[in-house]
Amino acid sequence: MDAAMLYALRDPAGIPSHPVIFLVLGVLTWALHIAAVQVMLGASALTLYGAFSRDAHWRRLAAAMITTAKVAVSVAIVLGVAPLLFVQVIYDPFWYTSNVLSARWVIGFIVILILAYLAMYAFYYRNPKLASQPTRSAWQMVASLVLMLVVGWIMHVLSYQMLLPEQWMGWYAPNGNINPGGQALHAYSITRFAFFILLSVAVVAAWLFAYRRYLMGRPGEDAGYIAWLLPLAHRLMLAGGVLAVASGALWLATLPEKMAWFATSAWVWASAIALLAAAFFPRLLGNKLDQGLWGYAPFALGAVALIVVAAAREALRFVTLLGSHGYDALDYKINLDWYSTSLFFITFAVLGGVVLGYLLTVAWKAGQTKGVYTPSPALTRLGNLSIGLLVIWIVQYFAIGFYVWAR
Amino acid sequence: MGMTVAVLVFGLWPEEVARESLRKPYVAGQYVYSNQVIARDVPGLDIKSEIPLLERKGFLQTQVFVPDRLRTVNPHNALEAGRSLALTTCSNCHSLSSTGMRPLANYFGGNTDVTMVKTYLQGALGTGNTIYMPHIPLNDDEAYALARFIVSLNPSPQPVVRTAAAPEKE
Repeated sequence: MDAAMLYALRDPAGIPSHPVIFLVLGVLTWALHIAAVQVMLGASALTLYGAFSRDAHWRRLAAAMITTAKVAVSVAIVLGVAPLLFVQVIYDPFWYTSNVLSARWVIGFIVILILAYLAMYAFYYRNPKLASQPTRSAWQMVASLVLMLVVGWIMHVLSYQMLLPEQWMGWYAPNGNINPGGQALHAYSITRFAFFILLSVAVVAAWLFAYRRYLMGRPGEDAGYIAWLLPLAHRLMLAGGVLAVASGALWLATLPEKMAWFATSAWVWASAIALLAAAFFPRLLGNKLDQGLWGYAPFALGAVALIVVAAAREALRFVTLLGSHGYDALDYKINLDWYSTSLFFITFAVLGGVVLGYLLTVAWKAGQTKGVYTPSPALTRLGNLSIGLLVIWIVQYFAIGFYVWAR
Repeated sequence: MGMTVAVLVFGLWPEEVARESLRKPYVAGQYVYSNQVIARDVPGLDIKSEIPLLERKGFLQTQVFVPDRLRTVNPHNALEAGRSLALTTCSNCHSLSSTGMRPLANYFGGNTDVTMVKTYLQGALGTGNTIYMPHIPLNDDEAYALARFIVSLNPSPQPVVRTAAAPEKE
């Protein structure tokens, strides 16, 4: 598959803004997506561990983590759409080919994800009082976790097959005989998959620090439980750091030849430093974890580390496709569309900022209040502003459509 | 749960089927075929129709996913080249097996005459003078290969399907 063929697979309509915007947004949104995925995986694992434990604190943690996991799934799905869209914009020859070559799995992805999510909800439904009553139907949670790993594996394979255009023709037509069935998952890297999955140990540890800090903000919380969480979070962070470094090293050691440059690149060093800094940060903070908002800092730094890792992952793709296959994702034809570009950023900043800000503040404050929560007048005004902005957005959307149609 | 199933079965499913049925054989009406062929110039976006190129060089020479040994039709590879063409030009709307969506074989009424099928393909499809289907240019070699493949789909006698394309089979 030479460069000319790869370019022939591009969308001749071009893209509505500079490709670097899609590249950067792809990295940022993928980092957020994988953070949600890792919180979900880690919370699911903690739920399972707690569900099989008789320790009261573990059972309480399991009850909290199942609620975390099911919210994290929906966050992961919502945040997963964005990087998917960005990657298909500037890497469309690669993403679509990889998808078509494994078409049955792409469709299966949706079905398996639905089953995984239903299994998680079924477990949640069967165990409304996990903290105080014996666990029922634990197999549902096991099934959910296994199926979530399967959908992760499918997404891993689709992303990995993108990087191997030299093998596409062999997969589509082995020995020159066309097989359009899309039944197979053709290429994978177990070490790469393991790295991103095992990273969830450190991410959920960072999440536990934040969870603990959140509980400290609630009046009358069980001090024993809050104290019990701290060494658990520290232990998980240490184990997560070791696992990330070990599995990362294994991934780098098993890179195929054309990607071998990546192992010694600055991207890897930056990622290693960011991950180690995030792993040691809670120990460095020590007692400060209990002061002010510092308890949330490990998760914030963890998010920064994930952005660095996401950038390195993108560099691996960009440089490999440019260096080995002559495909430059940044020379995509641009048909600049100011309206859609500005609408995107205004929606993101103004609507996203105000509406999400309102919803998150309400959820946050309600969670920190015992009894009935009444929002402040300022917050209520923010809520009204959110509704007003949504109405304006919907009106302008149809107005511009009508204008374009009528002129 | 019941609500979810109801929304999926009575809401999303018919809506998606209707949407796909309505827009076929195009992804974007009159502009991009379901098989990604671009059929019109769009000067504002600097997009050129691919039809002239396909008329000049054919599908097998210009499509990316064609095994090299099938790029030129010869007596030994005609059937396979025809299958590759059917996958590229037909299979978005027509199932190549006997089941599924609008099976291709059903539209030729059991015709085993390769020349007759080829004449139809070039006369109706190759000129765009047919209903429902878009203009799909086919040179002599490609029309022959595709006809060979279409005829091969239909070894057993089947009920004759009356179509605008083949009224003479009645």
